[in-house]
Amino acid sequence: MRGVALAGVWAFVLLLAWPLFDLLQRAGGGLGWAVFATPDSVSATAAGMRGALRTSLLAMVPVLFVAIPLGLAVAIYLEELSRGRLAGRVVGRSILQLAMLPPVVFGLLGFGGLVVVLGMPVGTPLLAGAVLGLAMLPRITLAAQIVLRDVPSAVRDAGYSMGASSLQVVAGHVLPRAAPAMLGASCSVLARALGEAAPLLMVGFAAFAAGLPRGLGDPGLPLPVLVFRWAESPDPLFASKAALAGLSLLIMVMLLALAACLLERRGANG
Amino acid sequence: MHGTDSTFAVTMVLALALPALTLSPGQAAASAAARSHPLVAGSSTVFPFAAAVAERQPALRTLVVPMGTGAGVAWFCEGLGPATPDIVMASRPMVDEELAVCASSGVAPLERIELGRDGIVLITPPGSALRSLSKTELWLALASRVPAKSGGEWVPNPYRTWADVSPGLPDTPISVLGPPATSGTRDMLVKLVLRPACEAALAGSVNDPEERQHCGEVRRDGRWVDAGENDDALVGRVTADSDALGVVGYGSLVRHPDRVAALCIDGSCPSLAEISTGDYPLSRPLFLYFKPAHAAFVPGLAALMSGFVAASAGAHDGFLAGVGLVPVPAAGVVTLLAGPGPALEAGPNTPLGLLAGAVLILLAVLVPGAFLARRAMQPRASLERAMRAAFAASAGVSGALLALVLATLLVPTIGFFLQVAPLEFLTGTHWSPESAIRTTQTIGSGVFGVLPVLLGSSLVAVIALGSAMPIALAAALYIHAWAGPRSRRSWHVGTRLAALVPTVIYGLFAALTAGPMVARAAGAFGVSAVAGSTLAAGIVVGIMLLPVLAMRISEALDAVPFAAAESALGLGATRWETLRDVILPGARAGIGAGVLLALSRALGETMIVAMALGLAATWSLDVLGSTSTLTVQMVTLMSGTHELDNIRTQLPFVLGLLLALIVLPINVLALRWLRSSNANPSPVY
Repeated sequence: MRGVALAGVWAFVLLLAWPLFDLLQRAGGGLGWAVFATPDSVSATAAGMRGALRTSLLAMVPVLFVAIPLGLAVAIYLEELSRGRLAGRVVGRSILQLAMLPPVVFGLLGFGGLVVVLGMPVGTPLLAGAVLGLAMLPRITLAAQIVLRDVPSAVRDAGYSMGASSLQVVAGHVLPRAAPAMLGASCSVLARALGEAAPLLMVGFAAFAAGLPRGLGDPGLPLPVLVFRWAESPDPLFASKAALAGLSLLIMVMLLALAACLLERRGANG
Repeated sequence: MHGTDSTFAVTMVLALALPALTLSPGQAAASAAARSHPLVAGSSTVFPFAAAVAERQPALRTLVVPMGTGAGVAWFCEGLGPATPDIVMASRPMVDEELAVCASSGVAPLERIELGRDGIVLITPPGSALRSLSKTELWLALASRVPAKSGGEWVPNPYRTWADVSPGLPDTPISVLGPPATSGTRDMLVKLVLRPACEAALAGSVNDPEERQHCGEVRRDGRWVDAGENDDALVGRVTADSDALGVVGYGSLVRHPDRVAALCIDGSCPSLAEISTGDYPLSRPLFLYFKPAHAAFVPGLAALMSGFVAASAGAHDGFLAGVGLVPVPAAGVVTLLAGPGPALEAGPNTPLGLLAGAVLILLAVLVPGAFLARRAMQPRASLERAMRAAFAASAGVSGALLALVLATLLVPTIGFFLQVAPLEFLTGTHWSPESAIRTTQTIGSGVFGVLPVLLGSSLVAVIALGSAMPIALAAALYIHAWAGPRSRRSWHVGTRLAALVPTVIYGLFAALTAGPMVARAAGAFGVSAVAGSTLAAGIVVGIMLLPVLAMRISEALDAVPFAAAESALGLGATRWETLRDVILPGARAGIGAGVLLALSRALGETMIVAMALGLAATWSLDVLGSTSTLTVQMVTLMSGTHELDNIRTQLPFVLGLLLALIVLPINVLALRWLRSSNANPSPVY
């Protein structure tokens, strides 16, 4: 039986490596560095991903500075401050369910809520970041809740017995202990947001943006959406450029994910 | 203690009320955030030309959105202001109904230029036996109702192969990939071919007014497939399917000359000369409609417009001809609606600004507050109160945001079910969702039986789980029972990392490699399979599930008390016996939960299926054929118009709610099992 199980491990590793090698093979067609330096184009020879790289990074700004802090704050409220209150229970339950909803559903919320009702401009990093932030809000909350639950209650009890208020216990005892793991969870969420394309397709990112975005309000296609658009073309040059763009995306996501793992391990050791 | 609860409630109500403020009609468009880049939307046939012009002026940062002429014009005519496009691309002239909408919403002045000409081209893979068709044959192959061969009565279209239509044509199945109801190409096909041929046939027989009403409707038995708003993607789909016929603009033929061949219609083959003289029977003009008033807030609009005018006149060294535009003699700008129109001011977007401001204030209190609270030797009542309120308010804001998810799904769904019977929707086995987006459009009413779509989703999920489960289980068992601490650690990190691989990467792999490979493999066994087969998509979704599934199974195995395994081993059981009789039974709930969570993930997977699957939802279990899923239909049917008041635009929301309602009980059950399994689940993002 050991042999069968070991074969399972090998099948597991090979199956996951297969798409990676396939991409490497397709992207290796001597595309040159110009692909990283030019904006998108209608012509396969001129098309580059610089605009998409910028858009993806810009779209992370709202996720990093709004969605993640908000999600962490909600987690702290739910785990540390709302103990047993009805409001906390209701929000906690719904966040648990929403964290497991397919991201594409948040694209509908993005379209109905952010574009139609709030009038956010389509095709911009602002909208991309807002939609991704919405999709990630429940996930970051849930992940941070799990981290906070791992903090031993003895830590809190020690604080309270010294006469600290609940806020002091959170800020001075619980948070320092949970911080590395919470940062790690934030990195993982950021990695996920960076690679997410499905909700963006629902809010009108299947488009063409000329030039390079300068800020959150300029048009641009995030990298995963660009991969999707390029892959749709029957032109083999677009296909190999899509593979290269996919690889670049994968590298960025994996770096973030590695950082997350290291941070979490630090949290576990400390 | 009571304070935080009320803060929570007040914030939630405020955050919910804010968007509702803008729901009053006419207000939404006016309150859009300022926009300084040009926005061009509409026809996917004109899209490559508009993008080529936009690309030549990169400093303008133009956004070009292909969504179909009908959808683009609907958005364009919603009014003036930053939330609507400055320019709409049209592969047909605007109809009176649309002009009236534009006029009534104050879109004035409205100007038009003819960008060039185009021909609707019917493409096949190069080796196809089908070489030419007459307009009447095309109508007979595509119409929903045709005269019976025996004469007299009109019947639902019985033709299955081209030879059925006319004995001289090849004996291959009729399978046409064409643009959806939002498309101008679709409207022109109706106007140039289907309607005239139908009316000519009616003139010879009994003049039945009811039959005349259906003139121009396309058959809905699966032989015509609505293939989305991307001509180049449609070329790709045609090359992957030897029997397919695709309906695209002439530009696609120019851009992909070796990949597809074009049919000759009534003896005239599409070429630059035949289209520019109008001898090719399916030639038509391409237009751009402008809102000059938008130059008030889009500084680059004038430059872009002159770019288009110059390009249409061929002054730009004819680069548009290189991407397939047939040039026309410059006809200049035509003013359709005159008048100054209302004064435009790009005012601040109040609700959006308030919401953003509230969130930023919250964060500005929370972050420094946390540091202050840490430093404070004594609890300070004021800080304490402010921080508690801020924490409660952030929970309130996110609670409100999440309540909005439900509201945005529910409101269009209610509108949809006021027009479509829920029972028919949930039990019908025929899915042909295209329906008219304006009252005078000849599309016919959609058929909304969602079961084939659900079947497609379930087939993909079952194949995915079926292929991933044995491998993930075997691998997790090996790691649990036999691996040393070092490989355990790298396994843990490796699955964590692999679970974060973006799904668009698997989608790319499925579309470029796995799909064609499955088709070739099936061909080697003498079975025919399409490139975008259910089997291929299912297998790749399975690969995507491997790390998540293996992680959950590992956690479930690790949750079984070590002492139980130790005592079994101590009584002389082998490692496999211990696994089989002690650990696996103990981990059953945890493994079950993992499988359920993987199932819900497979059902909601979007990118892989959107890139690898076909678009036609068929009521069949043929895994080598094409199918469609809930998520693919959501992406394809999302038209991008802001008016969520007709069935066509409401449909994606209905499917989204259905998807949410399907995965919800699965997730609830999974969580219950997870709790009973005593496992310590790590989050999967």
